[in-house]
Amino acid sequence: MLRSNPKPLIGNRAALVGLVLVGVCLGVFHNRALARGAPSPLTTVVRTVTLPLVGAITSAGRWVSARWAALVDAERAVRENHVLRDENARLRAEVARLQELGIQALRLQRSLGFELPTAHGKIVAPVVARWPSAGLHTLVIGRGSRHGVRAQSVVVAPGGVVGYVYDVAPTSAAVLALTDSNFAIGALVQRPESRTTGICRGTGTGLLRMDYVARDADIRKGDLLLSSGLGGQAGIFPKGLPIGTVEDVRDDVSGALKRVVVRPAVQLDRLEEVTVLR
Amino acid sequence: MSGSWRTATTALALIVACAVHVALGGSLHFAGCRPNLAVASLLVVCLFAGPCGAAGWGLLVGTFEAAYAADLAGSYMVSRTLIASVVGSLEARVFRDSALVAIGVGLLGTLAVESVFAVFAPPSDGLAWLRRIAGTACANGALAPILYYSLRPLASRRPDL
Repeated sequence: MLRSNPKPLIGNRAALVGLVLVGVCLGVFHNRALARGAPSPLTTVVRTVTLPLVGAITSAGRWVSARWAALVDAERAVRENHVLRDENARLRAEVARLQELGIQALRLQRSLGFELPTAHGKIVAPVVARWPSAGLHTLVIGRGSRHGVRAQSVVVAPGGVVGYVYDVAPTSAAVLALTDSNFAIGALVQRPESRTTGICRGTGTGLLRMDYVARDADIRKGDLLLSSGLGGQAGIFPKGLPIGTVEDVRDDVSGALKRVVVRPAVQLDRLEEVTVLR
Repeated sequence: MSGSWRTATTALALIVACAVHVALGGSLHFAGCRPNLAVASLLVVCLFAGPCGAAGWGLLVGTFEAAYAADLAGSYMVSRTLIASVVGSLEARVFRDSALVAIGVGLLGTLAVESVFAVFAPPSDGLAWLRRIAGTACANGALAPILYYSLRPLASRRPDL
């Protein structure tokens, strides 16, 4: 089928080549700037200008989703409410017990002269956007350098680790999520009789993979993994943050290591707010 | 509609599509396939633009996507600009004002965009990547006729055709 009107809308061949070159050069410049750890002024401006629109659409989407869920899931919500009440009561008792243990640990640390961990400053930030792309998992939060967020700040949610700040603009920041294929964090099995360590990596699929786990390591399905404070992304994560739960353990094809699949503790696609640790 | 007015409304439509994709794209899926609303809209708009116009729209969408993606963000600009200019370049040779062509461009264009992106950012798990991209291409192909009829009155020089 031949086109009936062959005259193009704008420009000529030179303009086309120029535009394509601009796109390619901008892209390469941007990637190089990010690799050096420098924020790109172009994308910072674009994000700052478009953030109100994206934020408004996110809010509208959440509002509609919440109303729809209220309509559709009312009966299930009542059942869940009962279950959650029971769980809440159980967790309250657990918190009280842990608080008591915490006080006891503090007292022992002081009496033995241990150095106490430094308290982190916290910034609560709304999740404005989630970037759904193949293998790349990014969140954009509505707090930036103006609010004290810095590059490589650790980002957590009540469930555990979310990721770390990758790029900061004055009023927003991009967070590399722990499920991103470029993410890595030192991990440790919480179970006292195990304490197996390894490196958890994002796979880009919503699950994590724990590497460097020896074949004879004591690790099993259901084990909770915490950040070890070692390895991974330059050791920026403090020790003890929940990462996820072991979902599957198999022997690696090499026979020397184990292949451990981990489900993240935080449901990234449902996050509405996160906390940035400074 | 005058040329500048058409350009402005098309740019606005693309920006809104990108914003919707960034804001809600994570929760949109059809039968497990996640569409990329920004790329699907871009490809449909390119059907009504010449090579230069299409490259410009590609750069706009790529820059928007790059602003919200933390890693390898520049590759969005490169892949979107290149493929948009290729789709736009077909204008002088192929009659494209048809919903069926839009479906084909949505499907194949998405595969091309993601393949060019993968050249700059090779995926760690090739099979999983291929599955995701195939899903996104199918979802974009399914979205294309809806976008075609929505965007045609704004972007086409002859919307009454």
